[in-house]
Amino acid sequence: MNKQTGKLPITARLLVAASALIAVAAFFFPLWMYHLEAPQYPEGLNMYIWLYKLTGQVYIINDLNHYVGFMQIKPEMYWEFKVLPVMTAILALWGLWVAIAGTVRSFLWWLGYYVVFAIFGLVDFYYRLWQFGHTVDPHAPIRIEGYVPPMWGTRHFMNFVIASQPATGFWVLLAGFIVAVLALLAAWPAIKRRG
Amino acid sequence: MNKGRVKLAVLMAIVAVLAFVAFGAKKVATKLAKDAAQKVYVPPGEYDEFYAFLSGGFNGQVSVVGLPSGRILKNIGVFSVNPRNGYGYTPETKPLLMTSHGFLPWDDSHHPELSQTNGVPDGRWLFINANNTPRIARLNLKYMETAEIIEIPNSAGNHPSSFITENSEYVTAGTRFSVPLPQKDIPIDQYKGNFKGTLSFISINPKTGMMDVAFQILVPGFDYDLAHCGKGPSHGWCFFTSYNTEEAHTLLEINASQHDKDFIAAVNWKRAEECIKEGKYETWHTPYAHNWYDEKKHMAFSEIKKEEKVIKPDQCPGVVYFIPTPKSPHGVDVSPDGKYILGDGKLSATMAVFSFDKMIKAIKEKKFAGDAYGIPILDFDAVLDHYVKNVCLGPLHTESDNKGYAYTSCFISSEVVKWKWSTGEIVDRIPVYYSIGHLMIPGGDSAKPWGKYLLAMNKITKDRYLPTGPELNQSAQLIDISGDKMQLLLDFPTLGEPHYAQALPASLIKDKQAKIYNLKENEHPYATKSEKEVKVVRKGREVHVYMTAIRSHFVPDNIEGVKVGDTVYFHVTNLEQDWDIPHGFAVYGADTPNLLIMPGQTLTLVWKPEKPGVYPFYCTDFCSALHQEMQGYVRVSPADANPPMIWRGGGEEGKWTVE
Repeated sequence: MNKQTGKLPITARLLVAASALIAVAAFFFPLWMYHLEAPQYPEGLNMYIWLYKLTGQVYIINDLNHYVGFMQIKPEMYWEFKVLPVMTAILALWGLWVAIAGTVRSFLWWLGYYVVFAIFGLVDFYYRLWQFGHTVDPHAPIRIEGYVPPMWGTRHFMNFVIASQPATGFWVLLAGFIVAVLALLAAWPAIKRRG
Repeated sequence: MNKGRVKLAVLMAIVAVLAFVAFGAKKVATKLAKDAAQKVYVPPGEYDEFYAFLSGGFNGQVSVVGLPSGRILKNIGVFSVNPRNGYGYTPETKPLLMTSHGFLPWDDSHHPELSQTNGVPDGRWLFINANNTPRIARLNLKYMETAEIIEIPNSAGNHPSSFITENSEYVTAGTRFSVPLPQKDIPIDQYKGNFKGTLSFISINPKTGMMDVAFQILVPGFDYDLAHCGKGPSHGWCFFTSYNTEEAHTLLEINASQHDKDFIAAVNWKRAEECIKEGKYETWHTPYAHNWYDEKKHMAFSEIKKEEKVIKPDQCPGVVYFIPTPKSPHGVDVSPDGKYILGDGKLSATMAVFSFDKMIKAIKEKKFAGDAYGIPILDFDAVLDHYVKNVCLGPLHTESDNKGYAYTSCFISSEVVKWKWSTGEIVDRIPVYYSIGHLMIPGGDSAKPWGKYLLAMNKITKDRYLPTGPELNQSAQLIDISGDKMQLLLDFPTLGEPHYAQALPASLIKDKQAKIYNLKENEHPYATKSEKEVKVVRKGREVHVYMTAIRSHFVPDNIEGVKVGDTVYFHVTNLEQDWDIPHGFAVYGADTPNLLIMPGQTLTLVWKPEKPGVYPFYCTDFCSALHQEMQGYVRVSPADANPPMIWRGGGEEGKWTVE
């Protein structure tokens, strides 16, 4: 290996490439899912959050939301659906570039970006949930106070049991991140040499 | 010995034996009842094994019933208006009830028949005939709603209908009441020779199900009563019973019951097709209505057609033969293998089982016993295979199971008789309460009966349920036919008078049932697909309200600007896309029933207010916790007033559009 320019070992480069390709898979699966059950909905209602869209029975959930004055969930209200796919694409392309260029420096920047991306995603998600629960129509027929839907887990709300959990897309990104950490381990000697 | 003591001992012994016997009998009866209860018990939340479709007779509807529980799942408006959901009252559905005699809000529905593929019910459509003003309806089994109604021209009393051919090529129609054809004003006592019947074949488009009057065969003026079509070897033929071969026109009870034998008309419809191809027919021009429902437009359409192909048997030899059949036969039934044809001789205790092969042979060998108006009468003995002797009194109809047995309903002796198709040997009988008409076994008139249950549809109810004044519902009885002995399981009342029924395993169609109408695919010309599209449009004296309904409000819910003399069209679209969230709509003083609008559907209520005032409207179906709040007002001003033309609703306020 090239000690002078701080090049990554081949294992690390392959792992980075793998991590980048895994991140691409996140486009094809929902990141998070909500499952709502009530006496009238034994079959349940589902909502899936993707990088760039919402699917499932959002139309029906919105109709139910109006009773308690929750905002109508519409993808166009969230700029995240435009930014997240771009951020994920950058993650993947940058990763591939790191694998090709193979410099320690670029790798560390890329890894840092991954960490920021992950933290941003989770914090923003929690913020949106908090905002959802705290932006209620004061004229709603049924008034509620400061309810925040669960981010991960199960919570009762009125006649519903709401379960929230990460979906395939999240696990894909997590797997990508773990592979990136493995790349860090593989690159560790090179990083240490570089000082 | 004391004689008295002996007597007492003997007496006690007799009492003990009697008590033992009575107790034992009671035990057996209780055990039987328990056994029956278990067989019809469908635990809460679980489903029935079969969908049964029962005609409603004089209520003009079709009941969907679950078997074995006997629970009514739905009542479908077909030939009669249905105030429950506005069927037949709304501009969307009224065209379905159009005829050449104008709009008819009622008919007498008789024989439901499921569409078949290779002789087996396939769960696509259900056909049913109207007897009074001859028509055939097709129901779409995905929506369980009426999809099409075709009027049968050159007919009266459409009773031998709507029986299907093996691959749903045709459904049958025919004249129970022969009339002058084409219709004309002549004295009734000139019946003989002047009154005619037709046996009609209604073609079914294999993809869309759309019906057409393919051809009509002009036949002598008898009363054509019931029909069934051949299958397997007898595919290509349909059989129609007839009575009143005496051609009586008054007191038929006596005058039409004089001949020892009437006829089964055996129609070779493949031969008829050839004659049509060869141009051996006349074109008649009796107007008839053809009505169909466009699923995407949520709207029915009606057209009047004026052309029919009429085949005269003497111009198309071989198209029809008469088989002499014991006394005034009612039903005509074909065995599942298509080999036997049975005439249920209503006034004869003996039924004749004919052989299809022998019939073909007799035709080839010209074994005729004369003719009736030029139609060859086949030699009875040449066609007869065997008798079912002393079957019962008043045999009417026969259905089959999957083990080679036939089950005949007997009106007069009030029983069901089980016998073997191949030999006519009677193996079991069970009484029914009272006076059974039709009977039905799932798939029982098809090539592959599912068997298991038999449904007896009885004409007389009397004391079977808590009395309800002079008018009683009809009564059905479910009988287990899975064993050697028939076992009565359940009594349940039916709506109207079911003349025949059909049933198929629920698994065939259960998962194909529509739950909603897709709002995105709604092409109703007056659909309002979101609250943003709401508007009120005045076109002269017509006011069109483009209204939406969603839990738990209408938009608009305030309408001002209507004047006496206006006709108001409330075009209400249910914006819900959730299963089983219909909304209702009714207006104070409206002379039509409410609308019951399914999710994603658009329906219209037409209202002509006659007096100034403020009129409430509201949702009639308890849709949500805030259903009671789902209401609104229309202000009606005098004809010469000049009120503001505004609407409110959904937090918005708008002005009318004037065109």
